[in-house]
Amino acid sequence: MSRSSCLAGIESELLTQYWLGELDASREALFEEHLFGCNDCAARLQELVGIADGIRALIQNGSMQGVVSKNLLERLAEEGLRLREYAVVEGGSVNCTVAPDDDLVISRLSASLVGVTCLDLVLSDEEGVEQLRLHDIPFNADAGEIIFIPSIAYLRTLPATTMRMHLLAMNHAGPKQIGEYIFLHTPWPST
Amino acid sequence: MRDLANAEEPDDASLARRIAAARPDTDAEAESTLYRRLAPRVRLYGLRHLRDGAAAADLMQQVMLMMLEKLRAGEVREPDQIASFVLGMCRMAVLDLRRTGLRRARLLQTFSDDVFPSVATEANDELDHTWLQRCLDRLSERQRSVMLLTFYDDRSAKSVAGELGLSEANVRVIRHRSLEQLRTCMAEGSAES
Repeated sequence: MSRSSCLAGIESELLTQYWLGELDASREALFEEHLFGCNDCAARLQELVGIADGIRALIQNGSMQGVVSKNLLERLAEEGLRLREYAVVEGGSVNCTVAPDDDLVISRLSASLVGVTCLDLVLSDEEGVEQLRLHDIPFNADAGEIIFIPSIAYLRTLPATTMRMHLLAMNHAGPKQIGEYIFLHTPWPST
Repeated sequence: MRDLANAEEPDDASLARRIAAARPDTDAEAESTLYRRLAPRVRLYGLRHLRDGAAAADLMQQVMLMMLEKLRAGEVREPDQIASFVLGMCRMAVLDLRRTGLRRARLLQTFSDDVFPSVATEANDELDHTWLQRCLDRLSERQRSVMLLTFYDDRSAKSVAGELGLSEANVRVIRHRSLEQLRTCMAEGSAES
């Protein structure tokens, strides 16, 4: 992961755009001519591919925690991952668990987000003590939901417990609760 | 594999000329070096255009063996342009692959696999995923979501933007900054290990 020594001064952003198919045909052809003669660009592109491979692996083995889209969930399901989904409406609750053969557990929080510009997702324990806050999460208001993937490794360590998730619209006047979602977690019975 | 670091090593063109000049004998050292140098680029080209690791590995083997066959037979008119020649073969091979599938059995009979170094493995050195996760955890939520959606399926800024309620330009900026932060963080990991 050293600095570029490409004699043509190719920027990393161009490598990214090439990899993601964002260049038009003529720029792509020109870049490929360069790539085949440049050890440095080949090495940097390999590094980018390694990061992409790593991200895919971390998602697939449930290590990554984060907010994702419905499209990504569909892709994960298409690839045969076992997804355990819990959809909860505003003010609702759900009984939940994680099975030994689950690959990912998905929380789908239904919410009306029209007019919201900044949104935090807060996880609290049953006493309401904040355990985790995801600041300024991205969202598409038209989707009407937030899809959150928690770390499955963390979920597997939990005893029977109640977890609360809150969506908070953040604005100058202070936080405004969009919705509360209660997860009544029970560990998978041991055999 | 850096241009400046390898300043004393023979360049691609020199190696191609050596292979061509060795006829009817073979210059195993030049062949091995050129293979090791160009094969990762061919594999990356294959990954980019075929989006499949196995197909990219097949493309790499097919193109590299064809290159050596042509060089040995003196059929490369401009060995100085060997990189462009290989790129041209890649383009043709990908078109052919898309039409007819791979046909490499004949070449594999001519060149045994164990003649050449294990470039595919070398080019596919895995990152330290534990450290990568740590680096991803340091990103902001927006950055992490952009990285997950972008690189799970290698998707453009345009296609990611709508799903996250961001503009295409904003996704590009977030993506660029996130990658820079990841590279810096991963370099720290390499330095520590």
